[in-house]
Amino acid sequence: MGCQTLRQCLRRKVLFVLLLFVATVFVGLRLMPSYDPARRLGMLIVLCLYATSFFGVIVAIFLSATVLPEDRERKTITTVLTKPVGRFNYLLGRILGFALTLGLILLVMGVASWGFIRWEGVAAGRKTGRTDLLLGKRGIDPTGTYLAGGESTERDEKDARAGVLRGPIDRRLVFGFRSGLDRLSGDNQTCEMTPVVWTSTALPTAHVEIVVTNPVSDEQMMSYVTFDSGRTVSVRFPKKLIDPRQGVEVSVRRVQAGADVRFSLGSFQVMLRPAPFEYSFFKSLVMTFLGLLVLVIVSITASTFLSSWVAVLVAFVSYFFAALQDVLLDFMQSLEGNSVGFLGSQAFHGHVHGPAVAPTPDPLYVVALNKTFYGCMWVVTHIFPNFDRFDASSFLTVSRDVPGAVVWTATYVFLIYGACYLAVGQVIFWRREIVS
Amino acid sequence: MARGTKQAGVSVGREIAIEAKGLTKVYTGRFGRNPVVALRDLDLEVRRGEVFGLLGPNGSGKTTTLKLLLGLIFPTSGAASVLGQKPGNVLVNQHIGFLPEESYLYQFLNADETLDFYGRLFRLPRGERKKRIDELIRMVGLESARRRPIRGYSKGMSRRIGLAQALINDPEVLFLDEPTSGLDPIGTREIKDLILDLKRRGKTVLLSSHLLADVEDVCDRIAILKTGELKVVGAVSELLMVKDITQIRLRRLSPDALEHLKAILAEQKTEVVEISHPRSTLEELFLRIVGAAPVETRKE
Repeated sequence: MGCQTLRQCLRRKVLFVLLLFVATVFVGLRLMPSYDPARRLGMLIVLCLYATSFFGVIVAIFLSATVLPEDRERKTITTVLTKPVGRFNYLLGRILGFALTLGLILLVMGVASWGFIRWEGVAAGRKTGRTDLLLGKRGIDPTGTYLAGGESTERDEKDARAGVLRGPIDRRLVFGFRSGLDRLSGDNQTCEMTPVVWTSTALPTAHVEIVVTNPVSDEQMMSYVTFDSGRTVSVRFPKKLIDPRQGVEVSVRRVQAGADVRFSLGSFQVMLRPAPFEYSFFKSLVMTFLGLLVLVIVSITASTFLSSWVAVLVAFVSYFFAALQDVLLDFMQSLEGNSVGFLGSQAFHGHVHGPAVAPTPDPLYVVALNKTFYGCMWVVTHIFPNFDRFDASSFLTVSRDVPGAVVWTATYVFLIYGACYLAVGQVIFWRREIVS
Repeated sequence: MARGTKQAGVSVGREIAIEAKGLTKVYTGRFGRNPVVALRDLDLEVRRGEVFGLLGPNGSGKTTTLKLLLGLIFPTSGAASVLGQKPGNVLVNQHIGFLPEESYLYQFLNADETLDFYGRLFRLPRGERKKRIDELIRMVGLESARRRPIRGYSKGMSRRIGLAQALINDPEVLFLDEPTSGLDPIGTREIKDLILDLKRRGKTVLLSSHLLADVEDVCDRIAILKTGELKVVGAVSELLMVKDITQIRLRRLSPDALEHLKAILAEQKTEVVEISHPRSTLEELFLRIVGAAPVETRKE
């Protein structure tokens, strides 16, 4: 049934939507102001993602809300349901077919978007001299340095704060770095330090042992590095060595006796190397895909008992409420803080200047209406999934990785709402008579 | 009642292939409309290996009966079983074929793709599916149109491909709703021959039609429905037999012999109702004249 649905969609010339998509992005790109390349690139990313989402929604709703009523009206469903295909399998096959169709469309749109963004990114790089505009590195803030191992004097402590290591060879200089949950929640692949070491002796090089430690789990990575004086060396270590709350500790020790070294504190930073832009973009497309699948299931559920155009309408209304969930939730919160509710005599009157007057109690019918309205809002905000959960454009436009947790949340929302809507659709369709 | 072998929960060899007991269907009226009794208290048994005809005028409940037996709609009261299982059961559907009143097929597919799609629903292996598709396309005479989308087919061609899809799984029980509607006399004859061939192979066929001649030609037993009620059921030969008239058919009887025969009958005080030469049917005449032409050269 899945392959049949895909074929049905393709024969309906659904791929024409790709031409519309390319034309939209191309025209949008042409109309975009050209004063700031980085901003222009961000706008292009938003345009591509929103255009993908828009055309995806159109395709998802119009195809999935019409196919079952059409099967019923043309009676093709009679020849299918008299074959060894259960009604649930019929619904599931249709959903799978639409998943394949939307997957194909999103793949092509994604590749086209990537081409546009890459093209614009290279153009922006030529203008600004930067080539890594798509996603930038971010650092973890240093918290301070201290000495460890052996006796240390006040002068040693002062040296340590300046990044100087001298005296006994077993003495270690420890750099602490603070982490923030939000900064580590991205899928940064590796972390990196690029310290610069100055040798104060006649030796042109310094041999240094660097130990990176997770302060909570005590996991360590040790490496021996030879620094040319005044030159930077890149030291990479896995992200797991950074604790989301306590950060990371990096301790350095000289291997050669008598070789005093000074670490350039400004250069001694831990940087998070972001995953490639393509990876984040792909995750964003996956999230859009999951959102569209929820919409497909909603549309198919509606079409099990409604005619095609009513099902399309219901699907669009569902999408409207799902997309405006955050606005509705904010509005509900504002109502909670407002003792007189939505329809009360004091609602929306703002601040009343002058002496404070005790509010007159509202009639009972106003209270009842308020409660009804609040109840309706509660239902709307719970029966439709929050479509912002499937939108990752806010991460990409500020050059941030899409955190894995965000993708997982989208997956959970898809699974929970998808399963619920599918169950409702099956309950309705299970005893639906194929009369017409 | 003899019980046959069980195939995955379905009694394929059961003597009664289709059974209905007190089957009633009432379409409830919405928005103040009166309910419509489409079928009232139908008791029916179709034996395995027989061709059973459901006859009746339009609106008599033939299609409703078929839909109930296929599990497309649900009875208001009473029960039905096909191969010992409730209608609509996936296990039952594995062994049945259905040709609807009009061939409700996906118009964007061609004949090959249509049969391939329905073959996949039965999970037929690729090789077997291909072989079966070739056989069926040849059988229904659509070799030269097999790559053409069904939307370009004439009604007759649509019926043929519809019949092919009903046979894709070599079904034990075949439900045919008006199988010859839209077909020319040759197509009608071919369908009838096919039904008789299926009967020879031990398949059970339940067909509904209002074309009496077609039913008479192929059915072993018939049931006549009127306004949702079963009026009569029985073997065609028994129901059509006129028991108080005897027919003697002789070849090349001379006029003298005929006069002699009349005299004998008069002696016996037997009333002679009619003495005449038998007539061929118009269908037989038509088939003699145009039947030799191959199927695909005829304009559908």
